[in-house]
Amino acid sequence: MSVSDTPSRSAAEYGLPDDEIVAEIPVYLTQKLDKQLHLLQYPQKDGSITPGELQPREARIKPIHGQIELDIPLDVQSPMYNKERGAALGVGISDSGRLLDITTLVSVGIPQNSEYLAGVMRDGELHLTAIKKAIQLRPSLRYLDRVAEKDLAAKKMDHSDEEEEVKKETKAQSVQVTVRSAQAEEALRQQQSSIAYMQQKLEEEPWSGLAYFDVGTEESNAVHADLIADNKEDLISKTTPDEYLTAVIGSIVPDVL
Amino acid sequence: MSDTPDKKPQSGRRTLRGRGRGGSTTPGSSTGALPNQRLSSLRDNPQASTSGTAKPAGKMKFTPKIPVRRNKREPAAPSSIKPETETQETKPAEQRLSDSKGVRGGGPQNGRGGRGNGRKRVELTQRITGPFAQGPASLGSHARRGPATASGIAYGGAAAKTEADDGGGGVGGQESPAVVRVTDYNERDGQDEFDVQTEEMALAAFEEMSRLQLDYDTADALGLGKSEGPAEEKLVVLQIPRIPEFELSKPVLQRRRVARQQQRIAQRQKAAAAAMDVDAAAVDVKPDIAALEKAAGADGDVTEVDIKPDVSAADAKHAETADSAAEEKAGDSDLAASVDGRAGTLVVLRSGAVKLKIGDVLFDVSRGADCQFLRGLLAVDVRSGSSSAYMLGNVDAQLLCTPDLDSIL
Repeated sequence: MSVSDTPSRSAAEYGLPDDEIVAEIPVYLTQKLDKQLHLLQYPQKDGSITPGELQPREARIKPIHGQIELDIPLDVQSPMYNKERGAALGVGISDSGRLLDITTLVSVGIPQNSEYLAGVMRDGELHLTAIKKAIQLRPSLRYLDRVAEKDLAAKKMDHSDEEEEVKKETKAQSVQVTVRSAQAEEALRQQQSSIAYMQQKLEEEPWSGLAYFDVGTEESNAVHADLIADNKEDLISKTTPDEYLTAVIGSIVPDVL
Repeated sequence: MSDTPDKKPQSGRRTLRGRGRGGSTTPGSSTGALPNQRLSSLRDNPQASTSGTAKPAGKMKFTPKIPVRRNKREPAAPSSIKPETETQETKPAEQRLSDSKGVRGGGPQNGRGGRGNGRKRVELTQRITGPFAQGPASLGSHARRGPATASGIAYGGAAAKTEADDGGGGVGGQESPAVVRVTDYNERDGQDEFDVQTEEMALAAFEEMSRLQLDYDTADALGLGKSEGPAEEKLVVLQIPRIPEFELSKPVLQRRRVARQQQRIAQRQKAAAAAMDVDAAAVDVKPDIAALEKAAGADGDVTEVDIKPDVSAADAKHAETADSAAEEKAGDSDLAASVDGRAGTLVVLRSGAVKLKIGDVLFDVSRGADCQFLRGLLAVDVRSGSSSAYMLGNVDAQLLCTPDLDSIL
């Protein structure tokens, strides 16, 4: 801890001439990970759990949209686990008679109004890296949808063939027409910015594998080291306080149109 | 009978007195109604009331119980009745509780405990009411003081302590801790010592509180507080309206450029040497290009490299120099882009304020809202085909940086 040894040092340069500096911590900025850093929020998990408790068995990512899924295992041996219900819901995962033994957490991006930096406080030094995106992980109830689908399919055994064909046809029809007039262009643009369209695009993107390395693994520690700046030299600021203020104000989009 | 309406409040009082709260001041003083009768009875026999039986058959007046804020300070006249011993008992117990809270209080929401250590101060207290206000029955008398704090409920800003201080001493003195009397807790309020809070007191308390806010853990969040031992690593999230831009200083840039050149030369030599061992002399050209392109790839581009099979010597040489020039340029922008270095300083001041200076811009640093849920930091390396995610740890605290407008404007 680099606590200043001269407590009588005035804080004049920090705008408070009557105050004393008690501790001084150098702040370093590094960009090694700033395209990769995500702030994860687990709204349903308590802040005091250890990292190992959320180790997923499997992880998936949609690279273009940046959506992540984590399959967190459930303790099926626990006396608290209801095996009958687990078997009934397990149908939503697979037909093999598997118990529902995972909780799937799906990520949702959250809008950011300001910039976030991750800071590592180590040995009296603060190392900052910009955070690219903040996401929240929430349990996904897709298995319930699947269970419902299967129930429906089981009931409609007679009409099943017919329905499947119809479904395929409609899917084929949703392909975009390429030749379009100016009006059609406008309509297309509006449609593309609609939420339904974006949702559909999201669903169409396939999941790709995500290797997950938890806290404490070698790989994770290696990446963690990238949070620390190597270069301790001073950086030159390109922004004056005035410019900074202008930039901050300018970036605030007023709600009034 | 005029007595009948009085029976209710009076029975409540009796039971409460029976719990040994006799030593404390009367409820009557709060309401401002006639307290005299009860007061005098208490004055005369503070001990007798603990037995829980005798009650003067005097007139009882119905006085409504107005909930009033209590103050921990040595109050004025009415509570001078209170025996000195009780004050002594309560203080250490409170501090003890605070201490235990402080130790446990590494988490985001427990700044209150840490602050309470060894400080005599005015606090605004909040009443804890309800059936759980007394805490678990199994705890002894001293522990009765802090059931609400133990449950970790945060009371907006003020350090909340129960008002069980006054009653606790009496209880402990005379009955076994295992016995819990069922009481009417709504009535309970009246029995404890408190003042009517005047405006001056309210203002003074508010001022004290605002001063305390400055101490609020911003430094602790960074592991600099006295409560923390040797600093372990902490992960914080800083919220800032905008990150000022930086560039590397010239000497650093130069140094990196030189280092990179040397690295490339070494790579080429190594590749060339390896190639020479394996292939015949005529094939020298190809490995060179391969090495060059490999070096370019090492700069961070994930490009597929095609090794052209039939390249004449002259072409190869030319390509080599052109490549290296292009590499230099690309390398430079790479170097300039990856900014790494000291951006500023964070200072903790004696008043408790924390300031951050990034570049030339000054910020006030305050602690972000307490976050009950889990937050983590994940580094995601997205590549087509096989992405990787590295969990870097849980976030310990959040800090808000607000530009200090006084210094900018």
